[in-house]
Amino acid sequence: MALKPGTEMNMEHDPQLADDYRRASGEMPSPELDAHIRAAARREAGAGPRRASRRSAWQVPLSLAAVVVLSVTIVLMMRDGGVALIEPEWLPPPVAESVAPQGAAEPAAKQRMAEAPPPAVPRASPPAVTGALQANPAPAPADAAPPMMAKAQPAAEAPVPAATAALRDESLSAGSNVASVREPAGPLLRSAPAGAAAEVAAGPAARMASPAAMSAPVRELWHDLVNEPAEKWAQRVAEWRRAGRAADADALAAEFRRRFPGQTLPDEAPGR
Amino acid sequence: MGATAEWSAADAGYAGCRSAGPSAYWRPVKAAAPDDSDEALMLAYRDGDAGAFDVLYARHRGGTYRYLLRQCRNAALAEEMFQDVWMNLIRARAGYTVQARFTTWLYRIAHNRLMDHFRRHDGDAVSLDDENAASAAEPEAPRGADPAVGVESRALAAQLLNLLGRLPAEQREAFVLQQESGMSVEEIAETTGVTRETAKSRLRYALAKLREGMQSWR
Repeated sequence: MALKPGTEMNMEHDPQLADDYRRASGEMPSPELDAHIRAAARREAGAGPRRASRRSAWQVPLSLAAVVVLSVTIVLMMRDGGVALIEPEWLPPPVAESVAPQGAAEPAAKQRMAEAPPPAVPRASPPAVTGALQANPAPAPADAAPPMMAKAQPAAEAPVPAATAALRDESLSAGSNVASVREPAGPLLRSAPAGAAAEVAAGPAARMASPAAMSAPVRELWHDLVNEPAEKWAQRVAEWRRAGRAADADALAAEFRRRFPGQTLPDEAPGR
Repeated sequence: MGATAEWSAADAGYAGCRSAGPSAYWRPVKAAAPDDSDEALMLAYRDGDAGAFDVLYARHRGGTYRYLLRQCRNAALAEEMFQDVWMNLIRARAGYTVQARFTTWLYRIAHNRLMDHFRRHDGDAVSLDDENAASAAEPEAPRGADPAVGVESRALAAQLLNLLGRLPAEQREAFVLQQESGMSVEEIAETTGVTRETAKSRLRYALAKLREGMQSWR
């Protein structure tokens, strides 16, 4: 063993004595003892090497980082999904009368009017809507994006017009029937693009069967004529037929017949 | 690591020094690479490298054994304490960190083991008049030496060990630590738990007495 520099050789180290001591000291432990100690050392080294703790030195921070990243991702996803749940972006598009195909709208309007509730609560027939959606289970299109991606689209971010907002309120106040339409649909269908795409896939009949689309003209009709005599109803039906609004005229005629069972419209045949 | 121990090369890496002249006595045969330092080997053993322990053990088995033997002067007792020291080291490996030289740590364990023994068996230490002690301390003749020279060397070695045994235990300990592990005065003080001045004083007294006792043999 090397002595530290600066050792006072004369006073604290004697090379001659060291040499004598080296020659005098040849004792060693017995080979059996050596073997015993080495075996014990090997057992200990094989039993629990500290490399395991070295592995855990990087495993623990990595696990913590993974948990943090996962938690943040879940929170972000839930925040976006939560917005969609609390304030759904799916809104029934307003029905433009000039766009609605007459041929497709007529049967649906007849069915709607046949099952319409009393005039005091003018609502569209939810079962018809449900049936239309269920009969045409349009799958989500390939470009239907999940909620987070759908929010990024400009159409989804566009402000809702006042009239559309009113219709949404009507739809939401319609109660469980509307909810029953929405609930079977997954989160993807709650987004605006997916809902619109499903409606397009369902065709004009489904669009006419939409509760909001059905309620707007009928409600207007009833509000105008609810206290009017039968002549006014017949006059309005004739006006609409002349104007080409055959579906609305049929719906109004059906309501007319329900309200005034003993009377007939002028343009109707007696047997009709 | 994976180095194999060579028992014939007692105090591996330093064995060649002992056959060299006095001027090269404390110089290692070759400069130890950082990975071959005692501390690096102990860290490697802590991490599960049994081969590193073999190298460490080969380096220090003779020194620690002789340190214990000089202090207790009983071969069986020295072997018992020697085993305890190394087993303590093996058990303490998991918490090993490099805070000082490995030899300081190793001989501190040995010193504590000796202190425990002396506290439990106060006065049981073998006296110089004990025949077993004398036989246990009998030095081995240098290998390959001339028989005549061997006889003289044996007598010289016996005289030195006799003088060493007559020293107070603290002075003997300071001298043996210096010779067996190459410790500095500061490291001897740290190992034995005394101040530097105390260790220095003990070492000087020991050297002075041994020089005086060996004067007539030279």
